Amino acid sequence: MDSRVRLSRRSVLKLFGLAPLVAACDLGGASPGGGERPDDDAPDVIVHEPPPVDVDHPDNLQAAMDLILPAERDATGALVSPGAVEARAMDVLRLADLLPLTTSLGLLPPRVVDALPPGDTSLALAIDATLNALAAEERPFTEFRELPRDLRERALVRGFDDDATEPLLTVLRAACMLAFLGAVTNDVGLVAIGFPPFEDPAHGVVVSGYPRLVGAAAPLDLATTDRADLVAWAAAGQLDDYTFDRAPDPTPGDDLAAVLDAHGDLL
Amino acid sequence: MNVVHSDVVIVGSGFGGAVLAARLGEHVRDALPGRTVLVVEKGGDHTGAFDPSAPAPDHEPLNAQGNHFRQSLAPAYLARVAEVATDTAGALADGAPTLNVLAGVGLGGGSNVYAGVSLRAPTVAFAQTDPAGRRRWPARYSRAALDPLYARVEAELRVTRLAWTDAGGAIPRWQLATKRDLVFAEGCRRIGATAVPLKLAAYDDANEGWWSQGQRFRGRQNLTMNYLARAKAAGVRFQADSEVDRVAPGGDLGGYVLTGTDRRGGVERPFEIHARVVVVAGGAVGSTALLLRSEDDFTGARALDQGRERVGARVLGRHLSGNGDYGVTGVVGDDLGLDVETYKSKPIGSMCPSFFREHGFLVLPFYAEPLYLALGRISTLQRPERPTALGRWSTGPAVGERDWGLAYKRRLARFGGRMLSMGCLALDASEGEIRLGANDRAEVRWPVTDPATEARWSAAADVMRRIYEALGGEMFLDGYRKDGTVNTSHPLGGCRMAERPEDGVVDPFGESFGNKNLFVVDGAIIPSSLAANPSLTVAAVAESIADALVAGQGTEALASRLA
Repeated sequence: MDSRVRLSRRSVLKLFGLAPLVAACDLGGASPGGGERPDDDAPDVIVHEPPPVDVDHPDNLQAAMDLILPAERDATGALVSPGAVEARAMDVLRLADLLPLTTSLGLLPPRVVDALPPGDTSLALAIDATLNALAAEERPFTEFRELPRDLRERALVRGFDDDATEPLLTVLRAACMLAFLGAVTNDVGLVAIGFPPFEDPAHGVVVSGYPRLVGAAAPLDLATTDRADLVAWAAAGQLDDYTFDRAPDPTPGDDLAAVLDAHGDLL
Repeated sequence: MNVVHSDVVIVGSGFGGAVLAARLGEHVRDALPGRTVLVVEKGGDHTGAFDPSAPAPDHEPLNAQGNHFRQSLAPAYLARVAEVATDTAGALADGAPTLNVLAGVGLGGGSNVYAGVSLRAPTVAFAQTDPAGRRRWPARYSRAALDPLYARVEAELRVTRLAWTDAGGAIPRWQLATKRDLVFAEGCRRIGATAVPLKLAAYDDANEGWWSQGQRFRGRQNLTMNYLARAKAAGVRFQADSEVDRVAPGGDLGGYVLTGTDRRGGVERPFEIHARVVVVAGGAVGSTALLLRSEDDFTGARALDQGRERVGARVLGRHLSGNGDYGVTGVVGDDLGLDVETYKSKPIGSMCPSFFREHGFLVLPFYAEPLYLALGRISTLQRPERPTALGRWSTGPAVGERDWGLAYKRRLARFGGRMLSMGCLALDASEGEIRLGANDRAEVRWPVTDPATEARWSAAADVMRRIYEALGGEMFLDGYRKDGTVNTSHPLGGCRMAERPEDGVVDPFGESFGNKNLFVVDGAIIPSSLAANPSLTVAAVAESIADALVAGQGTEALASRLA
């Protein structure tokens, strides 16, 4: 028997003085019959992600970000693989254009934007309050960041599953994804999942097709590099650019003369 | 209330509006002194951001290639140049097919977000017929008729065909296809097909970083660098950050009055524009939505939807094509030893036309920011047995999985440098619809997929799967297969042109049936899918209409209309 104090989500939100948020986040049709959904109807939460090594977080938002895309640390607490916090998701969350940006990218469906609190309520403040409200369901009068990791995760799972809190948490997730995979401020997220790094991470420059010597960080300066050297390096496999001087082999029997004109347009 | 008068008003500045602005602006300057042309654009004016002659700020150091090209996913910038239209009701109903449309906003319209691919539409595209057997395109349009106009647009946009090699140094490196294209070509070769380099509206553009959605470099040809610059030089006035809500007959000049909201300077003010000639050019979704909002002011013989008026069959908002867009993402095998670098360099550099004759589709490898892994537009992490959960907007984790957390992060790492995205452009049956939703917001729908379209997509998906497998990898299905969701960046139609009023919203010159001097000239009037990226065709059709208006050939001359 779960010994948690069982408060309804809306009660918790009201407890924290966020009654307007309750109304604003109440999606039409999301709660059949218009009544509160009893907690007994909530799905069982399966926590299946044992944390590598937990760390203290300075605030609730970063504690949640570290669950959405976690950093991975070794036994000493040293960073092994960065997460959303290291990708500076906090900076992304504070962007003035975050909502139109994430909406235009498809990270936020219009229904989420429609359900967000009206007016100029700070998203960060609203998410922070939501996280505390979710935390209170686990341990009353305990901040989200103060919960053990497994309880934080359980609270977050419930938050994503709750029609009232899901829109704000979806914004938080969008900020994490944008920072981590969109490389808004750095490329640590991309590198963490196996993509090649930016050529010029300091300035966010991403290029391709300019050869480097294998193992070298910077592309060759083609203005000063002798073409004969390039050819020799390519022949010796020392050039990382496999496109150099390489045309695809023709495909026997696939005659495109009846499909394409001389300019490369379909006939 | 800000009240403006102009003889000609063009609403929108994409591939239709920009061409009209340049050509009619030059005509007015040269032959109709005293007359005025005004372009009204919903989004902002990013002209300075694209200006190749603008000096780079001192505080921006040169990059490794010695120029100032920067990564273009700068959020503050991207938020201003792209928007998504969708089917909100469908998105809330699990299992219902939905449609998502990506469009560019701001001065330059679709050129703010396009990939620069500039292909002429194939002959067969113009020969398509509707279910009644009638040709979808008016008789004056064919590939042969448009070829001279295609050539004109290509010159204006500096369209260049890429190459596989630099031919011993004879071809500049910026003109080469990318690493991604070489991997794709190898996959095509392994299944007996052939990849060829593409034509791009680009010049000196290899180093610009993220190419995909919005960019601040001189490489890809944004319309502000050519047609719109030409219009400005001719004296055309521009009013950005001003959204037209409605157009109605009347006004001080005896033509039309447009009402809307001016958001310049961050302050909202209502405006009224009085015009003799109005060209609606807000893109397939934008133009159609504007006419739908304005319908009540046009009745009887002036009804904007003569199909509904005459035969009870609605045409306004119908016949929306997604141009057969169908994208998937997957991984290639390790055995290649090649890093795909899927998110670098040119967005698209090659295509495989081997299946076009038999099946009516092209396959292209395209840029994909790793961010796509988290987007619903290409649902990369979806498993074939469960293509969508909530569908469309998230990666739709499989049962028991989440789209966040450590396990999710580790799933992302499976893609890494081996990620490769592909898509097809195909002939479809223009199955989509546009209508107004809450707050008069445009809603797009894809109620049902025509069996012929379904067959093409199935064949294309099979080809793409074979390419992945030939490369030792695996294709991850997108959200379409089970739920019927369609994602497109190439919307066409909604105000299709036709020979007869009951078949379309505008005549072959883009003029409203029953409403003289009210035109629609953009992707909204294109009456069929093209199976090729549409920017060049939209611009060529606009050139054709501009020619007719200037010369008075086939339609009344602009000079006469303004007399």
